[in-house]
Formats: sequence, structure tokens, C-alpha cells
Amino acid sequence: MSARFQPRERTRVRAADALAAELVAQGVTHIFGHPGGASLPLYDALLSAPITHLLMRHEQCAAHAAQGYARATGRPGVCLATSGPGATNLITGLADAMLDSTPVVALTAQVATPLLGRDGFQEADILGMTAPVTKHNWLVLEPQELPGTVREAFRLASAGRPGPVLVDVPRDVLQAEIDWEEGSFTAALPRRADAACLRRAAFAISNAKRPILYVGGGAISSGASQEVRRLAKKARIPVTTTLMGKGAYPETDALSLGMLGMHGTAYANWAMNGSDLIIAVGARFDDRITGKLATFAPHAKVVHIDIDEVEIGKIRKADFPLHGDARVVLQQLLPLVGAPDTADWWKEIEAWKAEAPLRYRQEGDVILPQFAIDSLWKLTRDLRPIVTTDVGQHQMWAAQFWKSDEPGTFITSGGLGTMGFGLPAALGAQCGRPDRLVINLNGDGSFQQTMQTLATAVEARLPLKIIVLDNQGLGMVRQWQDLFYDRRFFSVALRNPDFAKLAEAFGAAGFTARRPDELEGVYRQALAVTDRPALVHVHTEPTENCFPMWPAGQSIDTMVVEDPKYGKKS
Amino acid sequence: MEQIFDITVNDVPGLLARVESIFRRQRTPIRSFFFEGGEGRTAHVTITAFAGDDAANLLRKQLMRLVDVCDVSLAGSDRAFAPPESLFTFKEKTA
Repeated sequence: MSARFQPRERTRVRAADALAAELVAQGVTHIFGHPGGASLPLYDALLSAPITHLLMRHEQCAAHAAQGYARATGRPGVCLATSGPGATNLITGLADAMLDSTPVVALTAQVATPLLGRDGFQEADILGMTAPVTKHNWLVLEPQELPGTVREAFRLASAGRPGPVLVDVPRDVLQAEIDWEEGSFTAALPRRADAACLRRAAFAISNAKRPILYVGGGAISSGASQEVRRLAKKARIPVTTTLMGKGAYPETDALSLGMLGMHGTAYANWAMNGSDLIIAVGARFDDRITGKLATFAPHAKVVHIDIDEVEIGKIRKADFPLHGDARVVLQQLLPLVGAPDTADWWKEIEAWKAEAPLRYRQEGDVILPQFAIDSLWKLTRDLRPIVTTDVGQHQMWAAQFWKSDEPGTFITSGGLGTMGFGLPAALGAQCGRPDRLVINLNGDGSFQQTMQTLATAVEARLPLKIIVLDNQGLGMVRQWQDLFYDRRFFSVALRNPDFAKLAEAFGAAGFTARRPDELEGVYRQALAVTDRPALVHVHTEPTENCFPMWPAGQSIDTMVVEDPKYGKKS
Repeated sequence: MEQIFDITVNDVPGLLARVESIFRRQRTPIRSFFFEGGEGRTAHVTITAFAGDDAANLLRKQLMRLVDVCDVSLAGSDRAFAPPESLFTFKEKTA
């Protein structure tokens, strides 16, 4: 570490060095970035800092990697881009982090202040562009304000409802000399719910006949998993989670109904729709959950626990609004709640479970994607892996068949649905959790959006496992054309490379599975690779569709429970 | 119905764009707008817009999420508001 990087007392330093020191003080261990002209002073400072920089091959990958790091560790992920196109390339990742409430600190360099607003080379109004996709952003014009702004950025990224923030720093500001001393911020106490509202909600829960816990990503970001478990057990309430809430409650537990929503389990959706009390914890009644709002859970009252007051009543009226941190609110609520009589309710749910279990039929020589995912889960579940997915059919099958028992171990792009998310997110997760097996479940279409991340993973010698489920097309788009556009298939077929050879060209290990009986052996070979990434190219059935499903915007009653080729509809 | 938003803000560049974007995303046209800066950092914004009570309440909560918004109070249509310094002509409220 250089001498200039060690200031502990008030001292005169280059602003870029103070910024690097602030990052260290905030506990940053990894930065995901791509350098450029305007960011060179900061890169010069980072050379001396005890921070690992992952050289991403596209700034979108940097933002997704920061998300993966944040979701796996619970700490803000940091991405770094230069001015102009470097900064604009971050936008998709920031929008993704905004919708999924992921704490990310984006640092962007900017052209020197005399060139601001003059259309200088690589100048972009990144503040204006990212305002709608960040909690807040700053353009630092006074060098002396840089350390404090960075400190505030980290505080805000994690405060309340987490989310992305961006700090834009002109090149001359980075190069200026400033007085710097290490500072700190005091985290605000988590918000508690109003006592009278709590009592009313507790009474409603204690007297419900058909209650259901509806748990979203907010339960994970607030660290409320244990409290959700205690409430479910105490009151014997069935638990369903959103895509973002997977892992907040153990999906192998008897009280779990798995994921609900458009591709969720039929019994979770039926239970939600038939309930008389929905206890929403850090969930936002997304349209993929409710379907047609007018017919959604028509007899249910709603207890809505959320740190973000905007979400309460935004889509569905909250009869018992509990505005506060989910973990703290549940801690307040637990002693007040009695055990309702849910015996009859459970009989009904068990009948639904028996009627419409999640299942697939692996027959013949072609691998079904569900089988590929289910087999890998069974093979690795004792290793407690962290799994990231990309977006598309494979994501929904993963949500169905990959049972998550632990928060922070199922990382996916929920709100924005960003193809290309999975591999860089896996890289970020592996950086943050080097002690854990990290698996990226991917599709052939989505993998090709950010596959250059393999180069970074090879350089860093990260032992990621990448499973590319290749159905030779954009499966979810194809499925919609199949079901809703009279099978008029267009622009969905992909002529793919040999992904195993491609992986080897990058310096990773590559494997291929074409038949069901090859899968386990190939998976075992990939799991045995420890010094570099290993990719498994799985050739899957190209026409398989993902069920259950209901058409977007339609009532849950229209749900098709199982592929009609199996001869069952609902 | 006409809603009046009294907003206390930190007067920083870009603030108005953030405020406006909240209304734009909710497809609520701003009918009139008044901004009064002071000598300090705090400024006052008054916006009138047509919105139902639920939509207005959602807008209020979303405005409160902005870092540089200090306070938002919502006055119903029963209140006429015409700051004398305004460059715009505010309609007097009628029943």
C-alpha cells in the first residue's frame, strides 16, 4: 500500500486517492469496472488500494456483477465506468437494481468541469439519464465534497428500501488536491410500525380462517427470514414467495407453497386467491403476481408490511398498513399474534397440492430443461450453492424446480427481466462469497448477451459453474408466439455456436450433454473443476413450454396448470 | 379534482426535473407551477395538478422519496393558492 493511501489524520491528498480511501473505509473489497480516459485518475489511485478490480468487458456486465455481489453479501456492490458511453452502458444494470431494490454504488467519471455542457468528447448527461433509475445521483463539482458525497452514497444505497445510487466525478475534480480525513456515518434506526396498526393487524391474523404469507424480496433485504419463519410456524400459515423472495422461507419446508405468480405453482396461486387474509412482507403486488387485479384474491383483507410507504396501497388496498422495516415490524408483531385455526384451510391446500403438483415427464433421448435443473439441484443441494439465473424460460423452470432454503442464494433479475444478467451476477456473487459454490443457470439466448464475462471470470480464476440450457431459440418469446400468436414463429430461432468449445476458447473448461443419461456425469466433471470456470452446454428439447401459466393481464382462473400435451388443463 | 402540492425542497440543480418526472410517470399533467427560492438552500415549490385523492397521495409519497424533497403537504381543491410573486395567473377556486 502506498504512503499516500494511508491517511488517518487530516491530510492533503489527491481527491482520487481520498475516493479510493473512502471505498476501503466503506468495506469495499471488489470493484467491477472498465477504465477510460476520464476515469484514469481514479484507476491510478486504485492501483494502490487494497481493492480487487475486476476488468469487465462491458459496463452493463459491471453493473450486474455489482448486483450479484450485493445480493450475495448484503453489502453494496460497486461498479465503475468512464464518461460518456461507459456511463450510459451502466443504465440497464442500474434500472435492474432499482426495480429489484439492490444496493449498488455506481461511480462514473465525467469530462473536466470546463467542458461540462459543451458537448466535449465522451460527455454525456449521466445525471439526467440515470435520475429515473437511481435512488439519487450526484455530480461532484467541489473536490472537497467528494469524500462526503461517497459516504452519503453508501449510506443511501442501503438505507430504507435499498437501491442504486450514482456519483459522477469530473476528471479535474479527481485530480484536485483536498484536505481529507476519515469520516463515518451513523445508520438510522430501522423504522418501526405504528403500535395501534400492529394490534389491529395481529387481531386479524389471529382470527383469520384462510391466511397466507406472501413474501417478497424486501424480506430478504431487511434480513427478516427468521422472523417470517417464526410467524409461519407459530400461526401455521402457508408461505408463498415471489421470484425475488425465493429463499426468504425454506422451500423444502412443509409450510412452503413455493413461488406464486404467472409461472408459480398452481396451489400457491389458488391459495392466494382463496385466502381471507394476505400478509404481504416486502412484496409489491406485481402484475405477474396478481394477474387481472379486479379478480385477484377477492375475499382477502391485506396486511401490508413494507419499508417503502409508496408500495403500501399502490396496487392493492392495504386494510392493515404496517409501514416499517420488515424484520423489526415482524418482531413487534410476533408477540401479539395468536394461532388461528387453519386446519380446514390446510386440508384444502393439501388437496390442491395433490391435484396439481409441479412435475415433468423425462422420456426419450432428449433432455427436458426441467430435468436438467432438477437433477443439478438434487446433485448439489447439500453443497448449499448460490444460484443465479438469467431471464426467460429457464429462469421460470429454475424458480419452480430449484428449491431455495436460504436467503441470498437465488439471484435473478425479477422486476426488469434483463437478459444478460445471470453470468455477470454470478461473477459478482462468487467474488463476494468465495467460500460458496456459485452456479449460473442460463439460456442460449441470454448467455450470448453477456458471455464475454467469461474472459473476466477466467482471468480471476473463478470456479463458476455455468449451465447453458440450449433450446436453440428464445424460448419464452417462442412460447408466447406458440400460445397467443397462432404459432406464427418469427425471430426466435437461434443458430448457436458450440458453447463448450467457446468456453474453452476463453480458457474455461467446457462440457456437453446431449442425452439425459449423460447429465449427471457431465455435471460431476464440471463440479470437479476448481481453478477456472466450467461451462456445461446442455442440449434441451426446443419445443418445451413452461407451465403453469396464465396469459398476461388475465385472471388466475385462466391458468393452464400443465402442458396440454400431458392431457390436463385447468 | 385539482390538487395543490406544497413542496419544500433543497434548491439544487436538477431538482425540478426530478419533481416533474414523478408527475410524468403517473401521467398527471402539471397545470400550474410556482417556484420560490430563498437566500438559503431551501426553496418552495407549489404545483397544481388534476388527480384523484388516491393518485395525489401516491404522488405525495413518491415525492417524499426524493432525497432533496424535505416535505410535501397536500391541499385539497377547497384551497385557493395564488402566490403574489407568481409569474403565472392562478385561477381562483370555485365550487
